Amino acid sequence: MLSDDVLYLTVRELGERIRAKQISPVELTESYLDRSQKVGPQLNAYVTLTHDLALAQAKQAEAEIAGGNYRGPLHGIPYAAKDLLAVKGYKTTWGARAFHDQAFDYDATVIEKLNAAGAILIGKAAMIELAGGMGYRYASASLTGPAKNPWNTAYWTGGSSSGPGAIVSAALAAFAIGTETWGSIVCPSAFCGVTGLRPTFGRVSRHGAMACAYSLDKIGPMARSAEDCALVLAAIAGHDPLDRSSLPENEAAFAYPPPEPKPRRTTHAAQPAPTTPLRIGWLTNAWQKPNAEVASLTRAAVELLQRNGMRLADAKLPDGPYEAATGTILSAENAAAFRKFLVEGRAVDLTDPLGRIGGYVHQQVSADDYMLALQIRAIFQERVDKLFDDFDVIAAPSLPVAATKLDANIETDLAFPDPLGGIGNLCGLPAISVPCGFAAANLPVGLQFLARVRYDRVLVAIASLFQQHTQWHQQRPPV
Amino acid sequence: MKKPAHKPRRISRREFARRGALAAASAAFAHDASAQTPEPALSAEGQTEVDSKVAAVLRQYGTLLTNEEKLDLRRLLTEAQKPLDAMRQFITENWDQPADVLKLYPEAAAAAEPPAPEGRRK
Repeated sequence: MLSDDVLYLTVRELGERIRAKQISPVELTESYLDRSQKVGPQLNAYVTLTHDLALAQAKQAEAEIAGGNYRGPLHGIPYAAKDLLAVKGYKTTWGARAFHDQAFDYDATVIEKLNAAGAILIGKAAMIELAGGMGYRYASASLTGPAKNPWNTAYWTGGSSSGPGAIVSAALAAFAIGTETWGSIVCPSAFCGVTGLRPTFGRVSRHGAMACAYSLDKIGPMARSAEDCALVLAAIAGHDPLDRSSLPENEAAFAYPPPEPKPRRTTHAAQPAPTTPLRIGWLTNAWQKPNAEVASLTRAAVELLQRNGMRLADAKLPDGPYEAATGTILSAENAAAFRKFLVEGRAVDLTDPLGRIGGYVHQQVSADDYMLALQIRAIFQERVDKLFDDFDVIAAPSLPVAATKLDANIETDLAFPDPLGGIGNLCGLPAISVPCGFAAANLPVGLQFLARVRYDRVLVAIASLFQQHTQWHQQRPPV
Repeated sequence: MKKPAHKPRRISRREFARRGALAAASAAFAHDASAQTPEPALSAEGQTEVDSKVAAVLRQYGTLLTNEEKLDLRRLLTEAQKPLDAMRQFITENWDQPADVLKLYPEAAAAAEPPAPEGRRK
């Protein structure tokens, strides 16, 4: 089996070694599977390991590469997919007891695209039941039990992409695919100390993914670096006629590295810097009262960027009821997505006491309120876009706290206004969360950047720059 | 009915100020609602709406719910009412199009040209 030093390499580093035939995709896959079998259950990280599929894909990759047919940077790279993505031949449980036996006879578009890139699926990652769309009170709201944080197993991974967070953090796979409706990539990325990219809405097809809220759901990569997220996004982005919200190909496609990089000047020996300093808006009203350690670490992180040539100034989100609008849209669309499930009385099969009744609350949203929320969305799309006339990115702590304990009441312990998550998801803005230090109990802290819609590349650029100057993303948890 | 004389997104300074003030008030209200301070009671209309929603859920799903869940249901609907009321204070106009989309099917590229009307030519 390969050593931890290899399993903690980034996708880019693994890809280079695979291409140079220094690492065998089969050996790499067997090593991640072995680690996943041993460590995965300790963290409740997986629903299913796709052992046979993984080995078949790995053998195919190895043969192709040996034959000179190298497909690209994901060829031979093992990954995990949140268990709301359909994979032919395997159960797709949506993290819920009520769907424990569900299977689809096709692959989600994201899975198809990763197959085409030569990536190797080693498992279906654990998640909060039904992606938490009906609400949840406890980390245990999952078919597989509470997902444990690799940095401190008495704490939670965050959700709803709980498995992807644990898997990437503990090097059970090289990257994972998560989803976000409101916070489900950013939160576990921050809590688990990994890098998570929430792409612009419509950039990645949701065909074959469980719908949580039709106009809010996004699929994105969680990985060990911003560059890795970009490599994965490049493979999964693109127009898909099977997703009605899919952007046209010229807007959805994402190339990494960029086809024609702009000329760069050098600030010191090996460190390239953009020709124009990026303008960072530090949000002063993202969170009401961030934890002192979180506030200090995230502020230090953006100041580090300032010292390295970025422009930093305070910024403020526009005022307005966009959190309520996002919540209204989420409720109405979630109720529609699960109408049959609710009407048949199957919500009683959910694990979580809040989830068992949350769907009924969602069903009470009127059409009038839903349409009002959509009107508000259109108005705030314009208003938030104006913010990006002054800033290339806006930045804030990913969350105002580090991970909560496994038995915490999320409804009360993580109850705070989230205007940034509200407006970001309402308007389909891309976001990236990067680790930027550690708080008490050895728990990671995340810093998030948001950009104008379609400007995912700017997020990758600034997050990569941050990671060139720091080593937080290279730290390993004690598992 | 006549279309609005001005373009949808161009609003008067006065209207803009009014919207801004209401939006600010709404935001403050929403934030206050989640703070750890005692919350003022709902308006009579708000309370009636909550009661009505609770009744609607119980009518459809009451037999599936425990007493504890019924209490929780009322609490959730009550907590949801204030942000909802705040959102309703946000002024929108007839011409403020919602961010919903009717995507034509089939898509333009795939659509065939409409057939030419058939008939005898002189």
